[in-house]
Amino acid sequence: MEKKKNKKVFLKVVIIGDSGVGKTSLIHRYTSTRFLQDFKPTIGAEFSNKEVVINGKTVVAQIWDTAGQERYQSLGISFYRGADCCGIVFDRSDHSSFENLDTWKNAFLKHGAPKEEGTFPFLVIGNKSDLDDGSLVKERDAQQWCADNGNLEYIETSAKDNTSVEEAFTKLIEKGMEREKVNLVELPDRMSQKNKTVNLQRDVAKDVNRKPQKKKCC
Amino acid sequence: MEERAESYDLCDVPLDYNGEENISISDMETRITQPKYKDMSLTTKSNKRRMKNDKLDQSYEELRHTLMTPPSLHRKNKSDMLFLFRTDKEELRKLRQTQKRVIKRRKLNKITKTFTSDLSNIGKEHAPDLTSEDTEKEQVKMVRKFQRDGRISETDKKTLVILILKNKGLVPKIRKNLWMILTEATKNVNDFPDYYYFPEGYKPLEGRRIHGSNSGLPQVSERHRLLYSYPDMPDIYEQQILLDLDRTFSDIPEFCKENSQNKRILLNILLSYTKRNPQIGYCQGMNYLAATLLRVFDDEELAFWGLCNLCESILPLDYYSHMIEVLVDQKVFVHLLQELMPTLYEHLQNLGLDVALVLFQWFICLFASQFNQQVTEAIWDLIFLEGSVAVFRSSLAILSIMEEDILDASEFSEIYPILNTKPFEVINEPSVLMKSIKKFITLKHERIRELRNQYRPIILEEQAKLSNCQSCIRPPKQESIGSKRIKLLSRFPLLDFFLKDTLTEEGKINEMTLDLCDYSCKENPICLYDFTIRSKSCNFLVYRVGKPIEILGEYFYQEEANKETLKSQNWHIFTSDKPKICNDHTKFVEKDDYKKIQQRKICKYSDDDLLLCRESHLCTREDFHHEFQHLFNKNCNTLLDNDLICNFKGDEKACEAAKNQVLHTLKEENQRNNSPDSQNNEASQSCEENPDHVSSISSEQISQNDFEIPTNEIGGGWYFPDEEVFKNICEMDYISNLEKSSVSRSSEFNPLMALKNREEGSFGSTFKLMSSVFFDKTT
Repeated sequence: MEKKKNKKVFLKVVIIGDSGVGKTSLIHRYTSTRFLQDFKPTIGAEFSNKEVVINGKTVVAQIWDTAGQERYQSLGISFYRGADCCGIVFDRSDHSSFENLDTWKNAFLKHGAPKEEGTFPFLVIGNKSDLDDGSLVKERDAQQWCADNGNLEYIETSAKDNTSVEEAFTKLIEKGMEREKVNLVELPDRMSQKNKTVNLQRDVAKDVNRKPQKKKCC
Repeated sequence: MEERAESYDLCDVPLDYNGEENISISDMETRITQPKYKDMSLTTKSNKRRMKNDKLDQSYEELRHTLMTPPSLHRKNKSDMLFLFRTDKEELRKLRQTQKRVIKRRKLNKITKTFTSDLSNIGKEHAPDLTSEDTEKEQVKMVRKFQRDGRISETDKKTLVILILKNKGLVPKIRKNLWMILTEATKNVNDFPDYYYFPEGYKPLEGRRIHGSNSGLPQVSERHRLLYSYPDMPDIYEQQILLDLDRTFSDIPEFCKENSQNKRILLNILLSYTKRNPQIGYCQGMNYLAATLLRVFDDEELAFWGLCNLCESILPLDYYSHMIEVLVDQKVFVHLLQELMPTLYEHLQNLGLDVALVLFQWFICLFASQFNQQVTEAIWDLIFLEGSVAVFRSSLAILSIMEEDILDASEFSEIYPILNTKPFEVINEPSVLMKSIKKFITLKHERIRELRNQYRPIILEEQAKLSNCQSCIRPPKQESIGSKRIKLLSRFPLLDFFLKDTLTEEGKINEMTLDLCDYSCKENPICLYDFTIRSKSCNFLVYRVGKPIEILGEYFYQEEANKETLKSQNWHIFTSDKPKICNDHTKFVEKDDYKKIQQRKICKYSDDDLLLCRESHLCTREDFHHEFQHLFNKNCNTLLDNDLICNFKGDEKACEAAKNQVLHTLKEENQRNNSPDSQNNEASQSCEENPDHVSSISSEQISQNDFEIPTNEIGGGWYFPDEEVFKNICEMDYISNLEKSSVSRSSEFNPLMALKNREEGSFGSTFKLMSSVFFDKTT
């Protein structure tokens, strides 16, 4: 049982950020290795799955693409809850989207209410690096912001040119796995007592995993 | 058929399959077959017996024709001619109506009956669809009739729904016409010719801000009045709209990159809408609504009105503004799913998928973002006809089509595509869906409402919890004068202003040009202004005729003025413990109290006191309003001072008075805003705006000028409930009546006309008469 669990790990990866910064493009680039020219604005949330092998473990990343418009934040609870890691995306050519990083991070922490508020794995992604006309948000500024906000990691990507997209998601997933490891230690014994199928086990494991979080937070 | 024609026993098939209408067939029948017309119905019977079923229509047309023209010209229907000589004109008219109804009933019944039998046949192999051609013909005929009448009754809507489901969709060629009537787009274009566009020959002011100037789209024409109004209103939505514009149906030639003209039109519609209703503004998803409407209407103005109707009338309030209702609807849907498809629900639960999240997009975009055009339009036909219950039915139908696939899936990753992409491939034409929707025809509007009420408090509580952690939510952008002004204007609910270029360079308001525009909403959907009015003016009030007219009590429906919603939107709320309108009588009443007041059980009022009811929309009674204001002028202006009832148009003096009032309040507002603690106090102060002070100005003006109200005056929405209405009110759920669509509100429910027909001399005495009728009836 333990082996099986180690074999396949499910992770919930949530991608947030202002409208139009390229969240959907990034995810699409990562999951289907294509760049979408014409696409739809994300309404509510969309999911995609990607199976990757990281450190010898098969990880199924359930990537949640969320809507960027402000008013959709009222739905945040259901989107963010139970996330293992979170990527905050901004558009390097749009300074206001950079300025909104604070808002997004705080919104995620409040709505998603993860157990470890201080150490929750975030990754800041500066997208649209291809649009370099000298007026992009500077890496120095972005790094500064990350340093000021709990030493978050920062990466610059371009979904269009496929620059560092794979890298960004790999980093995210690794971060999520680290977190998962910490939590797996706490897995109660009754998990292993229930003899269910592999799939359900994972879900139950997740549920059990989350429950103490909720209690502690509220 | 033959048999039924004879016996007139048409009420055996229940019609209220969706329960949205209170009038049942039996009601209609009793009305039709009143004893008075018994003899005539016999005649009709004998006439009919001779008619062959298939020629029923034709014969009727002939009969009608015969009746309309001098007998000498017609020799076809001798019996009818004889009949013509035998009956007097009045009776003939009535007979004609009766006959018309009966024939309609029969047709309807035929359809309903086949339909119900169809329903019972579901599961069996294809019930032969013999009537497909007929239903198509019938659909076309009905829509033609609607076009003639300019409206659709609730009964007709039902019939059409049945015809649509029966035929597996609407005949495409009549869609545009049908939507134009259902969304009241044509009507609004005619009623407000100068709302969206400037009138012909209008010379626009210079130096106006051009919307979407950086978008690279063609320039907007200067005709767009709404787009240019409120020039200083913050454009918080423009960027978002422009962002979404390139992503709306970009795979379709009409909206592809090259077609910038259509994009411009879409931008105009969406931006104009943010001006019309800043509370809703723009929500991602509305781009799909507007685009779909544009594709069907192929006309900017019509599409705009269609969007208004959809957002304000068909979908619940707060659907797009705070998304409270969307969240509520999600809960409702999950509840229904559990109830109607338990196996499926269980399975999804086991896989750990929250269906609501997947369905979110369906609800927000009303399926437009994912389905192909034909299917979307087919669903929208039903949405326009039946309201949001159709959204639930369609969603359930889609899931039921996908049921097997879903049950086969055993992993989360498998199931998501089944819900998110596959349905739109499988359901590629309306017929597939229509078939499935039939299964859920028993889902009624009442049930939805009930569930909504059940889940709304839960959602509101959740949201309230969240908003407690304010820090995480973006601070509201600094209000510009524009939005303040809109707030201010909302305090003058019955006046609809267009404010023109009132800002000086310093950003201060130094001059206001009030262009009082026609607020002849009539059957306009719940608009921003109405929303204000709902919270501001009571649903009914009791007052004493005399000098001066005295308001004795004002009552609000608790339910209608949903306090939570209002609060969340910063509207001013009047509560019973702190009455805010000029007198002490403002109250919120529960439904039961309302009935008590109706029955005068808790009334302290005397027999001479009058009770006025406000219909759910304030601007419905043109002729009434004229009379009502006339009455004011004759007696006293007291009521005019109350901001409950005042509506001026075209009258310079009245405008002057109104202008003064606005200027005065504006001054107050500015002062208040300059004071340091203005932000906190604004809401409460504005409620307490010194009514004496304000009203003294206007009443002075009004009484000095003793203005006359022009005869084409419109507005108010007040009416004197007449006998029949009172009976209705007392017997049935009045509130449910209020929630009926605007069409039925005004077209089938016109107490004033009933009043007028009485011709009881002057309006005043009718007024009194009605009050006595009411009190006699109810005590």
